[in-house]
Amino acid sequence: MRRYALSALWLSSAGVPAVLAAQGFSLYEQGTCAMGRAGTGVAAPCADGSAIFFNPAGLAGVKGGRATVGVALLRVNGGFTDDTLLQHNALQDPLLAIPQVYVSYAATPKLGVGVGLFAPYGLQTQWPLAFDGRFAGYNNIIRSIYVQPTVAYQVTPWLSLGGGLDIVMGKVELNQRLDLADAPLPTTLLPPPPGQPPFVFGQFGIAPGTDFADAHLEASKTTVTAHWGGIIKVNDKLSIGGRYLMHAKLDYSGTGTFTPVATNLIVPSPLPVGPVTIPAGCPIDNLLTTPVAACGLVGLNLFGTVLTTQTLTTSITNPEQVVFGLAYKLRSDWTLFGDYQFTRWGKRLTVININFANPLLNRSMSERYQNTSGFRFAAEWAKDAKWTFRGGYLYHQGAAPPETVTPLLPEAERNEFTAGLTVKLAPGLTGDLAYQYVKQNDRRGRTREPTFNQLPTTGMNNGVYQLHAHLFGVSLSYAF
Amino acid sequence: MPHARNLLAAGLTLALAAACHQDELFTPLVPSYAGGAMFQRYVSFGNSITAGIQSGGLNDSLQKAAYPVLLARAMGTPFFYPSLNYAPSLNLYGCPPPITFVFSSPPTRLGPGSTDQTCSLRSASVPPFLNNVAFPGADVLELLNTNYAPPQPPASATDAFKLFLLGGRTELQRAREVLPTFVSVWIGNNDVLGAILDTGNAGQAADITPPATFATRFNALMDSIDSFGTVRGGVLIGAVQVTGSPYVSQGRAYAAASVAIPTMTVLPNCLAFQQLSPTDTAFVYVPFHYGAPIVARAAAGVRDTLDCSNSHVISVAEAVNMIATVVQYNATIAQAATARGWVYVDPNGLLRALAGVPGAIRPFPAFPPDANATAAPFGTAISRDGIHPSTATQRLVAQALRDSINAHYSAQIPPIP
Repeated sequence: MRRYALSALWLSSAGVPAVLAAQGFSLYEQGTCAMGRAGTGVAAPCADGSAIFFNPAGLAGVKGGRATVGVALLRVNGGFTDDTLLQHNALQDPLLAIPQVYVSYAATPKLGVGVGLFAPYGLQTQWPLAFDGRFAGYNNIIRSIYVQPTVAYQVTPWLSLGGGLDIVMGKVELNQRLDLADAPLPTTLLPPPPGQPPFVFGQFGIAPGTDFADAHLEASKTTVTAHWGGIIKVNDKLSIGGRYLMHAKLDYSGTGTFTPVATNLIVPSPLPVGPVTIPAGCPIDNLLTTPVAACGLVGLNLFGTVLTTQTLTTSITNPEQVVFGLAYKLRSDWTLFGDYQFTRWGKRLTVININFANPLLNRSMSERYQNTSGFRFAAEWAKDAKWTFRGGYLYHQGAAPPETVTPLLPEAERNEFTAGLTVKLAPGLTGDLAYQYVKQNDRRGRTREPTFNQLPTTGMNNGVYQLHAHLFGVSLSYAF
Repeated sequence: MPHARNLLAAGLTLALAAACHQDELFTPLVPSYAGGAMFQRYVSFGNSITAGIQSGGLNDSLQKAAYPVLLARAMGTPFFYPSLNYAPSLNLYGCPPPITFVFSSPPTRLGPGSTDQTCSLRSASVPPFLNNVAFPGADVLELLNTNYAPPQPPASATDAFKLFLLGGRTELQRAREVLPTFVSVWIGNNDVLGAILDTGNAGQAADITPPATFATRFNALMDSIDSFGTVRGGVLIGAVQVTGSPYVSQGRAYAAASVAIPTMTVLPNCLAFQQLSPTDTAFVYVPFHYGAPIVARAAAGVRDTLDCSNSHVISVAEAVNMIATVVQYNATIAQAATARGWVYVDPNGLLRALAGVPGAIRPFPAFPPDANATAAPFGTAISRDGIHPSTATQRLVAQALRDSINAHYSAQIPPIP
């Protein structure tokens, strides 16, 4: 047991749960066996202990103990093609890994216990620095590791119930460039007309896409939530199951750091700005930092005042998941599965507020996610005592509305196809392999966030996001 | 097994149905008329005329009237220009606001308290890139160079536009961002125009880029445009014979005006001229900044004399040099167009035709109390600074370019709206 705990710790620190494989930033590849089944199994979870995620009630009535370690590897391909230049910027996501560790044990014939480590929410989107979306975020990470001690009990021969307490370790990271064209001038230097927003450097001609700072925002939080499930065996052929993963509100706190990026621009002629005149020849980089003679001793000292390293807070809620499904044994060797999943994004992700120690930097990003539905279908064939094969298909909606398809999460409806197998490698030892192909529908989106925390509209959409992914799952399971 | 196959088939059908609609995701970008693909992304290089300056001022209202904007609209291609605020309700009139009355000192500009230093800044809505990369004051060197590397032209008041319009970058740098498929280049006017604006020694050769130097720079500019690798066609516009602009008046026009102004004496040396060809003659030219105060003083009853041997006046020899220089510039430009199979348009034919239209280009400004002194002191074809085309002429230029492009490329760009 100690060995497994160490493995779990290693995976939680080295593994990168991430990216775009399910609705919103949820992830469903939490077990290799279930991955081959297109994620179905709420009514009849796989026997590898992944019931801890797919339905806690599935631990009831198991025999002996089972320990499973696995990983799903994601290769995401995609990018953004802008409307006007038709230039394509490809995602640069590294090969990503979603870890899973499950240990289960039948304490009594009716009572099952276990603990699982999985990552049902997470994303990573990494873009090249030449991409216009770098100002929204060029390397964005949401990572939620769930550790779930679980108890399940077979109440009657036909009813099992289970539940678990989830310790959720969350981390968010946002890396973005700041565009000088969008940066406001200090109102003390040039007050805007009444009722108007501050003047921005773009109004002095600074071209959009003029990087002047790199922002690194990082925050973490640990919280607790719960997971419930039940399975009804209607008869020997048909089972019905359901589970409810409660939402997890993560009130993150962390730091924001800002480093200058050289613009290499020079003021070409004397430039009156309010009461001061910037002399010709003044390097704009000096103007933004410390006063120098070349700039007439005018210096905004941005990195010593506003863009200092400072604390930040934000709140993101991993939404609740409700899944219902059934499993039907066609024959002794054939089983069909069908699941429906509801994820309550609409309630949980409407706006992301990032609050800095300096409130001038506070940001409010309207997301207005919508509740999503997913439909999963699969079939499994137990060829013999050694080999089991499975395959499936799933479809789900995108959570993001048309106006918030962004570099942070350029998602859309997806169709996915899966295949997998289980093989008995030795007495008590089984291996699982699975493959999943994700085809996301191309979708219009934008590369920029609105300035001054305004609400986004579809009018800001300036191109099309494309995405598809290949997922490979592998796990080893040991019965003891 | 058949059941599983049906499930798989259903899934594939759903995926294919979704894929059928992907063509509708992109904004239609290719103009649908014959030859339209060439004009998918149009970039205009140039100077103040291309930027849209009229009456010594620039604002969104004038920028909209510039020939490349009109041409792009006819082409049906997206076209962004660096809009300068024009919102009279907010007391924003331009950068600087245009001249409304050129005969006052300094000239009166649009908007209360406006001067040539007034700048209403760029519009808050900053376009993602620029199609009209022209900036006032640009000569061929400034298109070619980075702003900060030698050799550099002398500092000029129009340098502010390098920041306000181009964000401190060059026309080439901004144009490259757009990956243009079609370009227009109208450059060269300022390589000779400085000679008529020089308030110390008008017409001097030092104000003029030598033709050989111009050729080297212009060809380097064209090589840079070629290096984009995206340009499929273009139109090169020749330099204007600036001695034909109403900012300078022939000495004989002052002599004729002096008949009605007894206190103004025009010396006979102002009548000098040289026949260059059966249809072309070089005269003595008096710049407005020198001649107008003499007329104003004399009209006010103060006796004054115009001596055309003065260094402020462009002599016949200097005029001959300027005219010959522009001819050589245009030979270079035409050659560059021919080498690329592009269109060459000589604007001087159009301007000569306008000069034949009564009141279009005045040989002598309409001084007060002439009723035209406020509305069109230099003629209806030229704005109130005596140099830049009026809105009507910008439209004529756009139409001429459209006609030439259509003829050369067998395209069907619709008429200028």
